[in-house]
Amino acid sequence: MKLVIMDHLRRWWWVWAICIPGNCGLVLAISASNNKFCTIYPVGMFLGAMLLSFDMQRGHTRSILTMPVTAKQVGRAWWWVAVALPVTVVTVVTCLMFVGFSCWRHDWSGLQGCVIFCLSNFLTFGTMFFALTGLPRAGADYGDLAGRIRGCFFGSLWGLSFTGWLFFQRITVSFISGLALLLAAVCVTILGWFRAELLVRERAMRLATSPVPRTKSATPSRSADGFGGLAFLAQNIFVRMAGMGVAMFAVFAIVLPLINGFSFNSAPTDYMGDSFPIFAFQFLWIMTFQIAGFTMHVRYLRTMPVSATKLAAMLVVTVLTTMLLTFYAAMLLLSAVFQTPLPGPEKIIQQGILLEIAVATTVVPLFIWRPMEVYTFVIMMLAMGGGTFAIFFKQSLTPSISAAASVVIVLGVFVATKTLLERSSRAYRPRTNQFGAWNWGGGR
Amino acid sequence: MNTNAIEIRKLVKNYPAFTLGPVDLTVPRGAIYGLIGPNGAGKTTALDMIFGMGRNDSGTIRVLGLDHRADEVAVKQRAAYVSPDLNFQVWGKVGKAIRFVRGFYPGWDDACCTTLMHAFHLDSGDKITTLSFGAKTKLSLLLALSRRPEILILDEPTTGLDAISKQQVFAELLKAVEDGERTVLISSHGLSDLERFTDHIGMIKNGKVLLEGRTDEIVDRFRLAEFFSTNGTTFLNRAGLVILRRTENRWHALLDQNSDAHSWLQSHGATDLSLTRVTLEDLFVALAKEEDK
Repeated sequence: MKLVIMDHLRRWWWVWAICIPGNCGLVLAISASNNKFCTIYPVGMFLGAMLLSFDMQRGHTRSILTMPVTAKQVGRAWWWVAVALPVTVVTVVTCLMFVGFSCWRHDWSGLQGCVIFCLSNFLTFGTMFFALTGLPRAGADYGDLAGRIRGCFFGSLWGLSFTGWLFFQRITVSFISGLALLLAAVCVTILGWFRAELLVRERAMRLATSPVPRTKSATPSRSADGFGGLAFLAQNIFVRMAGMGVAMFAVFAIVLPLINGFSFNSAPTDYMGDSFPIFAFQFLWIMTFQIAGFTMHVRYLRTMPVSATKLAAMLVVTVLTTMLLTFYAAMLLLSAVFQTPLPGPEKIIQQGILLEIAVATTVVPLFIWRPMEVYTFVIMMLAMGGGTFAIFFKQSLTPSISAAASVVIVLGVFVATKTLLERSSRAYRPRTNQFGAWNWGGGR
Repeated sequence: MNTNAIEIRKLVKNYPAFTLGPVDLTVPRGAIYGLIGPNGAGKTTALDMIFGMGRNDSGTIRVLGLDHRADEVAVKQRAAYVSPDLNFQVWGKVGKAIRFVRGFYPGWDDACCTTLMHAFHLDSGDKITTLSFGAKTKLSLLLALSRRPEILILDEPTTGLDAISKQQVFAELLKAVEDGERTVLISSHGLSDLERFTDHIGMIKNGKVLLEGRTDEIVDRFRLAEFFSTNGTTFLNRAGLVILRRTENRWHALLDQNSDAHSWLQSHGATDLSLTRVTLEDLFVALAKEEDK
């Protein structure tokens, strides 16, 4: 077990070396400018289970099981590197920073934030690992209803881990809410410990294949019926993106009033306030991640009789339109829930939403350029983080400049996508997906 | 009418650690052309270039007289690509993959598709992720053949297939070209299969074409030579002669009958010279070794 832990740290030390000092630097910089100890939370997205998922993508699970270790030992070692170690390091470092900062400023009022930060980190690292143990491998057959529900549950947990920190940042800790957070964190952490072995065994398995010949179904499948081609591709991208987007905004619409009524400071009607563009930005990015599956077969797409220009235009326009329509639907939903008038285009542009949608389309060339692996993830997180911070400065942009910048970004995205499709050999290398599925072909 | 299905001229593609080319390849119309070469020789890169997967730095590719870049869509309407690297998982079911591809081809042959599905034991309701490796290759071939392409390009189509599936794949390929109009360009490591099924071959190594021509002519042109040296002569590689191994004074070499190697050996003290037919595999191994030296 020790060797597995050491191996992980030897390979990923550089991520730790960036994240921990980076997090400290940001915390101290923001605290110094606010004259109060403030915490931020993106560190969990880079460490813990996320790093494990990249190991799985590279087929590490199978190779490590050929070593003289049991699945249980590997699982437990992974739990240590994905939960125990990062939670301990982040907690100790945060407490040291808090003590140092508070002694320096003679102000201990940031204690509440420090406690919330440590607890929410504990919860997030634990949840991400727990979610990973049940996350459907992309490509795995979870055909039955129970399997689908299970996949949705763990998938939602994984997704919520990314946006949950936005809620935690605004929560006002009380004894009850603090205890609830702690209990939840302890529960998922313990569950993760017991499911760790299962995670290793499942990821090491090849996907079950059907024996040939198979028994034919009595009723012929109608999956081949209907229109095909690019329109079919666009339809599929739309359905996946819009489904994810509507689900996230719906959860937002349900959760926000609950939390507002419970402990948020802002009024429930102020959903288009400063926090909304930050949520929206994260949601839009998570929506665009849905095209990752489609870009996995970019090799095949390029053998179809479609020019690179048309394919690039279809991808960018579909993603853009889906985000616009989903956002508009979300506005309708939120306005109905919060019983407020529908915000006009000027308000939406003023809040920087159009710009956010344009920036989120950059995922298209990014995923054409490279598969969803560690460096892509770092690029995306930097872009997401940068974008989130940039939202705070949106007031300095007039609506016309914001709209013009959005158009320029979208055009740039189209040109980049087209150029990559035409010129890049990297775009056509066989790809593996993130959660350790066994893909067909050279990606193995 | 252009008599060649594919003409590749002075094709060059540079990568940081590898350069393909300059490559010249000519695939006659109606031929079954085998492209052979060791791993990393540049076969897939060359085939990818035809379909615009990466841009060549120089040179031209003409498919059925059309420029592969200027007439990209027209080329892809008439040519199909089959490779285990092509991924259909995103479509979930076999039927959906068929639906997607069919939408691009007005001339899609539904009858052929149904026949092939039956022959390959595929069903439109089958989940792609649960298909075996061989079944996925068959799906790829089905999607290619059902659009009735004039040119079929296959990159390692038999990799991972059992003997029965391999025969099935080749049987379908032969059926596809029986009218003499359809052309097949196939890259494979299965040299015995290629020797049996192809009528033209091209051999590629380290990004360069070593030889190209009709399979029977090429195989006929070379011989495995066994001879003895009586006076301690040491034979080295020269034009038309590739020394394969030596056991004391007994030598084995590959001999090009179009060269003067035969008479040169005799004039330099080689005795008891016997020649035997080569297989494509013998030829491939010998030429690949020579290139390494």
